[in-house]
Amino acid sequence: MGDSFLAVTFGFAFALFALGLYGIVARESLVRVLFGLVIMTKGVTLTFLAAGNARDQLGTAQAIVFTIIVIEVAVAALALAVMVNVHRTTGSLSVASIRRLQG
Amino acid sequence: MIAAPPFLIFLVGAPVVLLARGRARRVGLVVLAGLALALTLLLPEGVGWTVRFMEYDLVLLRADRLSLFTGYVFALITFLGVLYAAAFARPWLHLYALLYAGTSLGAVFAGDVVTLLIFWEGMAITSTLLVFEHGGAAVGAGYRYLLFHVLGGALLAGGLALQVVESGSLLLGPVSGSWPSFLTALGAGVNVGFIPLHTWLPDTYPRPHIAASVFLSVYTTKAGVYLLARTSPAVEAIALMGGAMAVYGVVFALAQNDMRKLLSYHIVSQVGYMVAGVGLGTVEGINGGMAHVFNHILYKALLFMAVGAVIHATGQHVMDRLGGLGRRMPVTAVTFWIAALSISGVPGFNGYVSKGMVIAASEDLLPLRVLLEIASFGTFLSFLKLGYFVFLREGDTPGRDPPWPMQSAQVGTAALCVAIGAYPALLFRILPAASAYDPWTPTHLLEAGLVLAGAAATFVTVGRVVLAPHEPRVRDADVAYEAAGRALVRFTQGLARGFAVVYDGFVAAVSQAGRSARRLQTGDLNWNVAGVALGILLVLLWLLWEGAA
Amino acid sequence: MSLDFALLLTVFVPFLAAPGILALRRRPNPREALSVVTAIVTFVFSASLLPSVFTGSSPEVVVFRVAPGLAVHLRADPLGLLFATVASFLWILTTVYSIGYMRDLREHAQTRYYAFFALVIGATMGVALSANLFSLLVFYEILTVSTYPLVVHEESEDAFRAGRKYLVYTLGGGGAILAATAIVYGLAGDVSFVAGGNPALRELPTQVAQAVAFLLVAGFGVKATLVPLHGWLPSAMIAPTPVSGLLHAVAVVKAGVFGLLRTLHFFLGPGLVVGLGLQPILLAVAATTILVASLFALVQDNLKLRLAYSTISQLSYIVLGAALLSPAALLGAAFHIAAHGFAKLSMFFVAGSIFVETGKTRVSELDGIGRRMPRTMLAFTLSAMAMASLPPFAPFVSKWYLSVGAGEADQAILILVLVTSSVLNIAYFLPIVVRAFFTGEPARRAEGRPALLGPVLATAIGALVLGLWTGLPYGPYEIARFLARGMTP
Repeated sequence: MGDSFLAVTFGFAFALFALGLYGIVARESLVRVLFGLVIMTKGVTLTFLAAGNARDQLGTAQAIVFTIIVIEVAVAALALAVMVNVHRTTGSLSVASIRRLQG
Repeated sequence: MIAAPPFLIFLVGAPVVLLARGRARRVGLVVLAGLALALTLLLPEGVGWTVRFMEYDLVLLRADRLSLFTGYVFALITFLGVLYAAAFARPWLHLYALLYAGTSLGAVFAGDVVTLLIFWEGMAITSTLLVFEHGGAAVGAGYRYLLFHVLGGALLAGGLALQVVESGSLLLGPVSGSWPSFLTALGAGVNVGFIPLHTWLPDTYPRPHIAASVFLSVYTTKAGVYLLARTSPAVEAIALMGGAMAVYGVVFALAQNDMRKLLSYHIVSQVGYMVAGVGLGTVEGINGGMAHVFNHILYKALLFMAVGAVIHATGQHVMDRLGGLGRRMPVTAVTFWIAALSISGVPGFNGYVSKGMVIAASEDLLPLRVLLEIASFGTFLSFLKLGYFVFLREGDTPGRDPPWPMQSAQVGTAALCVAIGAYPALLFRILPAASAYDPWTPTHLLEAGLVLAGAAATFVTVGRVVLAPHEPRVRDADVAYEAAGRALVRFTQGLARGFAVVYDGFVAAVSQAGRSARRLQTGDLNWNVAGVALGILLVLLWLLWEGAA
Repeated sequence: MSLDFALLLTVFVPFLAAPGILALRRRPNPREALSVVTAIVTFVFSASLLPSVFTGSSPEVVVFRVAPGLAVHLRADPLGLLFATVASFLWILTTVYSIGYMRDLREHAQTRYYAFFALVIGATMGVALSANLFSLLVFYEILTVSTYPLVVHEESEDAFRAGRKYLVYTLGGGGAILAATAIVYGLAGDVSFVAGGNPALRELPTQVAQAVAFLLVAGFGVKATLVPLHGWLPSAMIAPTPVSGLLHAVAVVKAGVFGLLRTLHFFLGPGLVVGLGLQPILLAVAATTILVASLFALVQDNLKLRLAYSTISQLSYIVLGAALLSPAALLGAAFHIAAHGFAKLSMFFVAGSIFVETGKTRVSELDGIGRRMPRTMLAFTLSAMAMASLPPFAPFVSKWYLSVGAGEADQAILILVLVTSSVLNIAYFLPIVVRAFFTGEPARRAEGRPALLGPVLATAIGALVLGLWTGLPYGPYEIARFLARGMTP
C-alpha cells in the first residue's frame, strides 16, 4: 500500500472518529449518541486495519478488529435496551431526561 | 537511747491521742508533744533509718549539728504551741497542727532529697488543712496559699532532681550548677518569702484560728531557711534579697491595722535577716542566721500567742478598736513586751544576740548592712506602735488574761527569751558552728542603742500621731497576682476562640470545597463522555511525552 | 498452659466474650457476670506473662500472616505488658462501675454497650501486645471502630455529631499511620518493633524517613491528643461516664501515647529521632499541649470537660518523657501510664457518681456536695492531689523521673513546664474540693451505691498504693524500671 494511500486512510479514519466523538458529546438524542459510538468504532477498526496493512501484520489486525466488532455489538445491544427502558419510563429519548446522577 | 525520727511520734501519736475525748485528749496532746521534745533533745548525732523507695535508699534520719539545732527549736515550740492550743477544744486543729509539726521535723531531719521533698509537700498540705480548718474567710486564702506552696514544692523538686543528675548522689547537701541552684533557691524562696513571692504570708496567717496562727508562724518559713543553709548557695543576690525582705516587711508592717497581719509582715522582715545571714555563706553568717531562726521562733510564736490572747479576750483583730489592755491583761502585756523587746533587738533579750550576729556578719557588704539597720529601726518603731495602741494608751476595751494553758505557754516562751538574752552561751553551745561573737562589746551595744533610741524618739514625738492605726491604704503585690490571674483567664478564652475560628474555618472551607466540587457532577451524559475523552487524551499526551523524554 | 497461648488468650478472650454478651441480651445478670468474669480472666492472663518478661524471654504468637513481614504478630514485652495489665485491671473496676451506673440511670442498649466494651478492651490488648506496626495498626483501627457505638450511645443529635467528629479525627490519624506503614514496608520490607529502633529504617533516605516520622507522630498524635489534634476528646465527653473514663482516660488515649512510645523507642529509635531533627519539635509540641490544655481546663465549667482537658495535658507528660529519650524519662513516661490512669479514672468515676445521684454536671453546681457524698469527694480530693504530683501519690514518682530525665537530656528548662503544670492542676481542681466541702448547706448523706462507690475509692487508693509501694512485685514501677534499664542512654 502506498504512503499516500495510508495517509488518506488514516485521515479518513480520524475523521470518522472525530465525527463519532462529536455525535456522543454534542447530540441531544440518545439515538444519535449511539450512532456516534458506532461510527467512532468504525474509525478505530479502520485505523487498526490500515496499521496492520502498513506493518504487514494483517493477521493480528484482523483478530483485533473481530474482537472490537463483537464488543461493539454487545454494547450496542445493551445501549438499545437501555434506551427502550428510558423511553418507557420517561417518555422521551433525550439525554436531558437521564440526569438523576447529578451531584 | 532510741534514735527514732521525731516525725514518727507525731505521725503515729497524733491520730491515737485524738481518739481520746475532752480533758484526756488535751492532756494527751501536751504529753505527746513533751515526749517528742524529750526524744529530739536526746537524739544522738548520726545517720540512720534507711528505707527503700523507687530505686533509692532513703535516709529518714540524719542528725548533725545543723539539723539537730533546728530540730530542737521546732520540737520546743511545738510543745509550747500545743500547750497554748490545748485551751481550745478543736480536735481537727490539733491533728493538723501536730501533723504539720511532724512533717516539718521530718523535713529537717531528712538525709536525702526525696525524703525532704515528701515531707516538704506534706508540710504544705498539712498547713493548708490547718488554714482551711477555720473555714470562712480563711478558705479563699488557703487556696492561694496552696497554689504558692505547690509552686515552691515543684520548683524545689525540679531543682533537686537536677542536682541528683549532676552529682549522682541522692544526699541532701550543697547544690551546684546553675539550674539546680536557681530552682532550689527559688523553691525555698517561696517558703521563705522572697519578694514578691511572699504575698501568701500576710494573706493567710491572719485568718485562721489564733492557735493555728501560732503554729503557722513557725515551720514553713524556718524550714525554708534551714534548706537554704543546707544547700548553701552562698549567692550575694540571696543575701541582698534578705536585706530587701527585711525592709519591705517592716514598711508594710508599719501600715497595718490588723494585729496578726502586722506580725505576718514582721515574719517576712525577720526572715529577711535569716536569709541575709545564710545567703552570705560565711560561717558567721550561717551561724547568725540560724541563731536568729531559734530566737525568732520563740519570740514570734510568743507574739502570736499574746496577740491571740487579746483577740480571744476582746473579739477584736484591729488596733484602732483597742486600748488600755495593759491593766486588764497584765500577764499578756508583760509577755508581749518581752517578745516585742526581743524582736526589736533590745540588749538583754534573745533577739539582740542573733540580730547582732547577722549584722556583724554583713559588715563586708555595706548595702546589706544599711538595709538591716533600717529594718531594725522600723521594727522597734512598729512594736512601739502595737504595744502602745493595744496596751498602753487610754482605752476601755474589756478583756482579761486567757485561760491557764495559754498563759503558761506564753510565760514559758517569754522566760526562754529572757534566759537566752541574759546567757547567750546557752544558745552558742548548740549552734551549728562554734561562734566567736561577743554580744556585749561596747560597739555592739552602742549600735543597738542608737537604733533603738532613734526609733523610740521618733515614736514618742511624731509616731503616735503619724502612725495612728487605720485601715491601710497600701496594697501589696497581691494586686499584681490578681491582675495576672484575670489576664490569664482572658488570654485562655481568647485562645479558645482562636482555636474555634481555626477549626470552624477549616471545616467550613472543606465543606465549601466539597460543595463546589459537587457542581462538576452534572449527570449529563455528554458532559461525562467529554470528560472521559479529555482525560484519555491527556494521559496519552503524557505517555507520549514520557516516551519521548 | 504455655505462655504463648496465654498471650493469645489475653487478646482474644474479650473478642470471644462479645458474642456471648450479645447472646445474653435478655438476661442482664448473667450478661454482666460474663463481662466481669471476662475482665478478670483477661487481667489474669496478661499478668501471668509478667514473670517471663523479667527473665528476658518474650512469649510470642503469630496470629495471621498477610505477606512476609506483614503479620498480625503478638509479643509480650515490658512496655506492652505494662499497658495491658493496667488497662485490663482497670477494666474490671470499670465493668463493676458500669453495672451500677447503667442500672441506676436505667440506660437503654446496655447489651450493645457491654459487648462493644469487650471489643474495645480486646483491641486495646492487641495494640499493647503487637510486635510490629502493621499488627498495631490493625488493632488500632478496630479500636476506633468499636468505640464509636459507645461514643454515640446516647443517640442524640449532639452524640452523632460528636461521633462524626471522633471518626473523622481518628480515622484520619489511622490513615496517616497506614501511609507510613506502607512506605516503610514498601521500601524496607520490615515494620517490626525492635528495642532501640528498627535497623531497617536507617536505610531509608532522610526525606522519606522524615515523612514517615511525621506521619506516625501525627497519626498517633490524634489519639494521644497532641494540640492541635485534640479536638475530638472534649466532644467525645458526651459518652456515658464509664466510657469517658476508661476509654478516654485509659484505653483509647493511652493507645495513642503508647503508639508514640513504640514509634520513638522501638521503631524509629532514639538515634534516628535525634538525627531527623524530630526531638525539639516533639518536645515543643508536648510542652505546648501540657500548658495550653491546662489553661483550657481552668475555664471549663462542665466537670467532665475540665477532666478531659486535664487528661490532654497529662498525656503529654508521657509524650514529653518519651521524647526526652533518656532512661529516667522513659521510666517516668511509662509509669505515668499507670499513675495517671488510676487517678484520672477515679475522678471520672466521681463525676459519674455525682451525675447519677444528683443529675449535676457543672462545677458551679457542686456547692456542698462534699457533705452529701463525703467519701466520693474524698477520693476526688486524693486524686486531685495526685494530679498535682504531690507525694505520696503515684504521679509524684512519674514527675520525679521526668525531671531527672530532663536533667539527663540537658533540657532543664522543661522542668519549668512541669512546675507550671503542677500549679495549674491545683488551680483548677482545688476549687472543686473547696466548693464541695466549704460551701453550700449541710445535706443528708447519700453516696452512690457500692457498685459506684467501690471503684471510686479503689482507683483513688490504687493511685496512693502505686505511689507508696513502688516495690510492688511485677508492679508498674518494676516494669517501668526494667524497661528503662534496657534502654541504652
